[in-house]
Order: sequence, then C-alpha cells, then structure tokens
Amino acid sequence: MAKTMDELTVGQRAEVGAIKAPKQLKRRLMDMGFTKGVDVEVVKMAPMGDPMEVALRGYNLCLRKAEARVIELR
Amino acid sequence: MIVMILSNIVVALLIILMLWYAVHTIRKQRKEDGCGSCKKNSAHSCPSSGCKGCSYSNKCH
Amino acid sequence: MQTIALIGNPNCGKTTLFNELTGITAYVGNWPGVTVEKKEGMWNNIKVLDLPGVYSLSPYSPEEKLSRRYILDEQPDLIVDVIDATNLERSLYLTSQLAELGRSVLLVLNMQDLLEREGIVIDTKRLSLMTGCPVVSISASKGIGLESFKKEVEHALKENKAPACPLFSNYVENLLTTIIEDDYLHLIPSGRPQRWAAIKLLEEDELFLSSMPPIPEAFAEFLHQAKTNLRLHFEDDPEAIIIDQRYKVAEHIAKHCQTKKFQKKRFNFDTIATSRFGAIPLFIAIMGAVFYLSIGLVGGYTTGILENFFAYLGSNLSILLDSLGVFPLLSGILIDGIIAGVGSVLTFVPQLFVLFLLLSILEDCGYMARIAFIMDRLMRTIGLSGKSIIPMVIGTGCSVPAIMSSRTIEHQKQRELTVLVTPFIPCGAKMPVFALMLTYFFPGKWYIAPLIYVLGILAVIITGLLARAIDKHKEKNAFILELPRYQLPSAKNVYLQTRERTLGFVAKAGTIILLSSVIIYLLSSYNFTLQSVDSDDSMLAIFGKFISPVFIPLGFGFWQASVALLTGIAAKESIVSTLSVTMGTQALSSFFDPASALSYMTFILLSSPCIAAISAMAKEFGNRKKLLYALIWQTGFAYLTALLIRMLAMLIL
Repeated sequence: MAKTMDELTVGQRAEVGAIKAPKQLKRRLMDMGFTKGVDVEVVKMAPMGDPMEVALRGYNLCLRKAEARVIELR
Repeated sequence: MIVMILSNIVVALLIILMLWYAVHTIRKQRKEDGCGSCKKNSAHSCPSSGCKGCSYSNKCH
Repeated sequence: MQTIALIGNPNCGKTTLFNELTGITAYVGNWPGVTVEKKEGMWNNIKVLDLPGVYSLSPYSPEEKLSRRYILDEQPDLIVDVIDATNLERSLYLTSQLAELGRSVLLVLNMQDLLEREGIVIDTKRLSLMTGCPVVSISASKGIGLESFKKEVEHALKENKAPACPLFSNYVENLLTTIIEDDYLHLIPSGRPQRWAAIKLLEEDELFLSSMPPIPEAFAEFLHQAKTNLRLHFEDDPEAIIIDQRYKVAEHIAKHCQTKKFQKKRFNFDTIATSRFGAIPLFIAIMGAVFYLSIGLVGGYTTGILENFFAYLGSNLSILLDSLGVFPLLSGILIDGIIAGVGSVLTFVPQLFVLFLLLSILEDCGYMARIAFIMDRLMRTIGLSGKSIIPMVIGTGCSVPAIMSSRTIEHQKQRELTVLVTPFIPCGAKMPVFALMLTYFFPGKWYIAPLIYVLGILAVIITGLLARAIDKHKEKNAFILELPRYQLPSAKNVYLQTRERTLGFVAKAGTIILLSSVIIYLLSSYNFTLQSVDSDDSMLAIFGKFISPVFIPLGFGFWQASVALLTGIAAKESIVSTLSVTMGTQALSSFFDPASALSYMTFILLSSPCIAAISAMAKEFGNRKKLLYALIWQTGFAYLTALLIRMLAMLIL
C-alpha cells in the first residue's frame, strides 16, 4: 500500500502518484492540479482536524481527508 | 372654502401620485423579473440567457 | 453584432472586468463560484458575456457544462480567457482546453498590480508566442489597462485567428492524427473542431458521445485498441493521461514565461483565521461584531430618532390637514396608512445599511472560504457541507442572494437542504418585527436578541439532523474548495453591493409596503357597506377572524396578527407596518403579552419566507413538490416551535 495524502502531517511535502477514485472525483482532483509528480505541501488542518489545506502549483486548496485518501504519494 | 377644496385636491393628488408610482415600479420590476426582460430571439437560451426573468422561470424561450 | 465571452478560473476577476466594461453591477464576492449563470451586457456595440468560473471543461459540473455548451453551440467571436496572473500555471490548464475549441482566444492577465508584491514577473511577449494568443495585462479592480484591452479586443476580432493547440507527447499526437483521419470524424456537429472531437473520443466524454451517431464497429475496435495501448504506455486511463499532458504543457509555458523571486514569508491572516483554537472563536466574534455594530450601535441610536421623526411628522401633518378641512378619508390614507406604514419600515434603513456594508466587506475580503473550511467538520455532522455556511452568513442580510449562493455546493441533497434551512436565519427584513417586540416587551433585556439567532441556528441543526436520519443512502460527496488570497475589499464592489441591497430595501418600502399599507388601512377602516367603522368591525377584521383561530394556541389568535402574517408573505417588513396600521392608537400590550410576543416572533422567524425568497427557493429546487414540502416543513416547524416557546415562556415569566 502506497502512502496517501491524508497521512501527511502539517508542513510535510510529497509528490503525487496515482489517484484511485471514481471517474468523476478523479477528474475533479486532476483538474485542480493533482497530476503525477506534482509537489504538494500540507499547510494546515481545520480546527476539528478534518478538512485539510494543501498548497500545490502555487495556490491553496482545501479538501476533506476522505478525498485526500484517494491521492497516493510516491 | 377654496382652501379646503384646494387642500383636498392636493392631498388626493399626492396619494394618487404615490400609488401610481408604487404600482408603476412594481410592474416594471415584474417585467424585469419575468420573461418580459428576455428578447425572444434564438441567440438566447433559457435557463441562463442572463436576463433576470430566465433565472426564475426557465420557460421564456 | 459581435460577441465576446469572458471565461476563466473561479475568482479570477471576470465579473469585476464584466462590470467594469458593461457598467452592469453584477454580484461579486471573493470566494470561488459566485457567478453561477451567464450574464450579458453591452460594451462598445459588442455583446459581452460573463460565464461562470471553471477550472476545466469537464462534462461533470453544471457550470462547466454550461460554459462549454455555450462556446461550442453559440460560437462567440472571441473567447476572452481571464487569467489570475498570480496563478498562471493552473490558468493555462484551462487555456489549453479553450484553445482547442476553434475560436480565437485573447489572454487577459488580470491582477497585474499584485504581481510585484508576489515577486512574479511574466514575459507577456513570450507567453503570446507560446500560446499563439494575443496577451494583455490589466487590473480590473483598479481599472488599469482597459485601454489596451479594448485595442486588443478590436484587433483580435478583426484578425480572427485561432490559437495554437497545445502539443502533447508524440505518442498521443500520433494517435490523434490517426483518429482525425477516420471518416467518422466528418459526422461531428458543426462548430466542433476535429482535434477536439478526437480528444473527446479518447477521453470517452459522455456529453460528446451522446451527441454523436453510433460509432461503426471497425472504428470502435480501433479506438478500443488505441485506448488499451495508451493505458499500457502511460499506466493510467486516457482521461487522466490527457489531463496530465495538458498540465505538462501548462507547466512548460509557465516555466518559460514566468520568473518568481523568492518571497520572504509574510504574516498571513490565516495564522489566526484558521488556527486550531482561534478560528471558531474568531468567527463568532466577527459575526457578533457585525451584529453589534449594525443593530446594536447604529440601530440603537438611529431607530429612536427616526421613529420620533415619523411620529412628529404624522401628528403635525394631521393637525395641519384637519385645520385645512381635508376629508378624514384622505388624511387617514396619508397619515395612518402611508406615513405610519412606510415610516415603520424606513426606520430600519440605517442599521440595515451598516449590516449590508459589513457583510459585503466580509464577502469581498476572502474570509468566506475560510469559514467554509473551519466549519466543514461541524456542518457535516448535521448533513450539510462547509459551503452551506456561506449562504447562512449572507442570509443574515437577505435570504434571496443567500439561496442563490448555495449553488456552489456540488452535492444536490446538501444543496437542497441548505436552501431549505437558509430562511431559518433571520434576515434583515424580519428585524423590524423583532425590534418592535423586544423594545416594547423586553426593554433592557439585551440577551433576547442573540437568542433569536440561536433559535434560528437550532432550527437549522434540528432540520439537518432529521434530514440526515431520514436519508438512508449516505452518499459521499467531495468538498474541494480553493482558498483565495485575502484582498482589501474593493471600495467599488462594496459600494455597489451595499447600495443595491439597501436601495432594494428602500424600494420595497416605497412600493409593496406603501401599497399594502394603503390597502390595509382602507380595509381596516371600512366595512362591507363602505361605512367608516371601528377597525374591529372592518372588512379586514372579518376576513382576519377566519384565520385567526388557528393561532389561538400560539397566543396571538386575534385578527390583526393573522393579517400581518399574511402581508408578511409579500415582504416581511410589512408585518410591522400592518400591525401599526391595524392597531392604530391602541397599545401593543392590549394584544400581546410577553409570552405571546415571543411565540409570534418565533413563528415569524421560522415560517415560510417572503415571496421573493420563495421564488428563489423554487428556482433552486426546480420542482414544485419539493418546494411545497419545504414550505410545509418550515411553517409546521414554526408552528410547533412557537407553541413550545410560548409554553416555556408562560412557565418562566
């Protein structure tokens, strides 16, 4: 099992690998820039620990851990 | 006597003017909010030709 | 007539540019997804369209479908691709899709005023060479560069040159060339370029495939083989490969055209605004400050002054008209109808102005997206999304824009639930009733006003929990939201928005409320034989007495209250004006007691909203049955809660 993005802690960086998700969600994530090899950094967790804020391609995005779980890292 | 008649007329006119203005504005708004604001040409399409009316009714075209 | 279409990522400043060009004042806010429908305007004899912000032209989300269908079917003469210059790479991803649509494209680098601060330099000549599109730098919010924008648009319209299509890797390009050569590609509907169609065939784009005749067997076999080869070669599915290729192109262009200086980390408001312990208290504090400033500070000061003013105006005019011998009918309409009714509503203009002003500042600065971020976890426990909080905050001003803004919520059930609960948040128009009741029955008890908001929030939570319990299929849904950069609210946006909302309130006072005040006055002063009678024997009273028994358990089973509720459907402000017209000189306390005043307020807070909000709800539900259920739920829930509140109040008070 590859490591997935929800396992990152604040301040960690990683490179995106494959995305294992249904077609629609996968397209949505890839449209936002999560393509193979892109650098992501976890900026922050929301107060209750769920949505997480990540920085990629020079902008900030928030997504839930459930979505982060489908993004594998390498 | 003349003062009384005049003042009655003035007040009545004032009220009619205000009512007319209110009805006029409401009718104008109705038109804007309804399909009246859409130009019925083929270049437009509901639901989203940009006119206010289409965003409420969906059936202007 | 020529047409240009503005398109770009959410929050890139399209609508600001659109407003700047056309002089139309469309709604602008600093969170992604404000423009949900396309808007049209005129600029120098050119038709300008503002399309919703999109990240991509995928066939999945409604906005993306709309933008894509528009460009393909209605063929604008020029696509104006608005780019947030501080976010070049991701913007170019969209550009790479626009370039394939066969229309000429003009790249507009917006927010160039922010580039220096961010330490970014963009070589526009090179960008133009690499994309094959003319490029122009502007700052829509500051109005910089609009002259050269105009020149470029005219030039591009004259030249009508298609941009360079992004080149993918050789393997993909070879495949595309073979696909284009097949006869099947001649069947594509007009306006669709072949290269684009070939890519859609590879991506298995549902929208495109459904518009095409069935694929002949030999060609289908070939496509299948091609896709299998692609999968083997890139170890991913074709749709993902295309996205990947596009981003590679975007990266390549961005790398060559943009130099970033290393920036020292500056202080970011998010260190507090989304911090672990500070975030939620800060949110509550900000909302508290908004209400304190508008309702408490400004409202407390101005309401009394304006009330006195209208009372003074009314009584003096009455003396004057009497001495002149004006008929009681006419002076009654003017003073007890119009001045009493309209005046009771206009009293609230200053505090609503401040409320609208503060809310539009909140919307414009970028904080809304942060609220969605910090509240998502909480909102999810009641079956809503973090994005549902945005409509609720806007709803404290007016439910109509609030309901419209729920459209940014992707998941349909959550969106509908948000639409259902947004009217529970007391809007500005309900404030006059609360203020009237509170100052009369609970003077000095400042803590009741916040409790009204708490009650509204409780109604949201209860409805949410119930809906979640009923809904058996707990569908998973995505919450993906860009957190935009904070910005100083643009004075122009704030001014326009505040003005529009305040004028809307004033306009209602001058139209619906004026009319209804006159009608209510006449109906409540005459009986069916058109004789002037005491209001208790009037037409309105007889009519109101039909409905009022329903409200006896709630403690306001007299006709004035019922009639006021009915006029409240037209506009909630008219509840106050109707009460003041029908009760005339009688004191409020001869009708209500504190307990029934509370239950009346509760009923108004929670029952179905005004007609404008109802039609906004109808639009979002798109289905009469759902709307009917929603209204029944709101009103039924209001009735039960009001009953409960009255009983509690009778026990305590």
